[in-house]
Amino acid sequence: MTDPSSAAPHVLVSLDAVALTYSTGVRALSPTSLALAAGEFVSLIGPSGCGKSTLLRIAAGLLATTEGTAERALDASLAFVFQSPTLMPWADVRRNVRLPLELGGVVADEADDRVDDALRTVGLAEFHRAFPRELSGGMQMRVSIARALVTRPRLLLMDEPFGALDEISRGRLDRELLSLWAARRLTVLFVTHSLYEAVFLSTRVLVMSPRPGRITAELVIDEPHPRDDSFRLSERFAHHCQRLGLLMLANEDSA
Amino acid sequence: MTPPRRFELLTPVGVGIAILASWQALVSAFEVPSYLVPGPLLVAKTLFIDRDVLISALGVTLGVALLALAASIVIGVSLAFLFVQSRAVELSLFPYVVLLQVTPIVAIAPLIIIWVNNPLPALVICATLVALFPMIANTTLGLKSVDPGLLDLFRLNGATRWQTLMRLRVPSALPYFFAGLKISTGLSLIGAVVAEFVAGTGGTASGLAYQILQAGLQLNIPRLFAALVLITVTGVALFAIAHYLSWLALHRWHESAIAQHS
Repeated sequence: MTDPSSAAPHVLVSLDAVALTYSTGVRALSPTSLALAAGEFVSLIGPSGCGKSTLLRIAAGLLATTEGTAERALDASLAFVFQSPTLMPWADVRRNVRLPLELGGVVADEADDRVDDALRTVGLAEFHRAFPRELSGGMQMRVSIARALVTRPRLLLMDEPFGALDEISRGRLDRELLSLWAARRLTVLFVTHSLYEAVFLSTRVLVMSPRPGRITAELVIDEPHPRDDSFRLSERFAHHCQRLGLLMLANEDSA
Repeated sequence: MTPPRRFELLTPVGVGIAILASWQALVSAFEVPSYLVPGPLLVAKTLFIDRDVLISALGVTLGVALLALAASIVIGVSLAFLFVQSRAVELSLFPYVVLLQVTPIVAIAPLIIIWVNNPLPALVICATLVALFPMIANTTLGLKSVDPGLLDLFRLNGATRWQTLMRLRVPSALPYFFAGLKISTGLSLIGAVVAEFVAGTGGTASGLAYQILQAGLQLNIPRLFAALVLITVTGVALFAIAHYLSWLALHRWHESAIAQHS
């Protein structure tokens, strides 16, 4: 129906005035709207407990809204990367990465190839027989990302995936994520509480207010890709960070 | 690694030898009659002389215990599966499971022995009642102790109830299941012995408890001790086997079974 050549971007996720109030009466999310177009890298940033993760889980279909509508395009196959690696401790790396394919009934040979491919992509090919507890936090997160990539999703939803890592590992994984995003033409919705990470990664940053949160501001990071560490050190980067910082501070004051 | 392990093994063995030696020394020094307290040497000698009677008695008791253990595992795991599938079933049945646990076996064993005419099944039923609860309680807890993130992951990938049960809940439950198994092995043996005691000399099979009763009545205290030693050693052996199985299943990944490197 849609003309592929039309200028209108293909919207993969559309949240329209979604809100969530728990049965206890606690309001987790104020009505907020969000549209995610194919090819975007959008970060959600806000203080702890503002409902960033809630919004992400609604987009994933893991949470039902109490108000508003959440829609996902039919072709928006998704994978979710959790805050912690969330690996099965009893299974080795290979079986962890293979899990989504086995649940989805992908034939064994095909699954093996895809697992190998995903493990190579995250640089863990030689660790495929290791158990999660034998790996560092950063390596566990890579396994988690490999598991997300193995189904070849169009849409990647990530909930503060690198929040628990040290600054160096986080920087490296940020760079790798960006090159994956570009190489695989992914669409990413990324929750973070790091302003620098948001600016470095995103094409667009959405700022959320404190609980019960809603999106209060949007900042387009109009910078070319690929980005590398020279971007991190550039004045433009500092400029974006400053603007984002001001938008976040504005929320603090009004709260 | 090696020195502390050797130490770990040597100290309890040393204590055991010391206790046995002082026991023998005291019994000899004060010339305690063997119908009061036999020395360990006499117990060992009796164990050897009466080996035919005692070993066949052990066979009976061990058979009852193992059958009861198998029944506890099958029934306990099945009930636990049922409980995690339906909250309604769990709510309506769990109070009765607790009831089963708090009812003293000695109080209901005579009834069971009257109702079930055949002695062997009656004993197995009694021992099962004793050993069952840890299997139900632990396995149920384990099947529920699932990482909520992994549960989300399974949902997102469209896992069926069956896939979630077999690939997520069952492996998550293994450490709890084995903790229950270690308790239940001991309980199945205790249950078997208690049931035999209650059944008494009234024509039931001749297990170790029967030997103990008989030996007591005949003031054959060395044989009583020998039977006691056999029961204890069997209990320890059963526990060791359960411990080993648990280690086999868990040592690659679970904290409880991973060797401590310090």
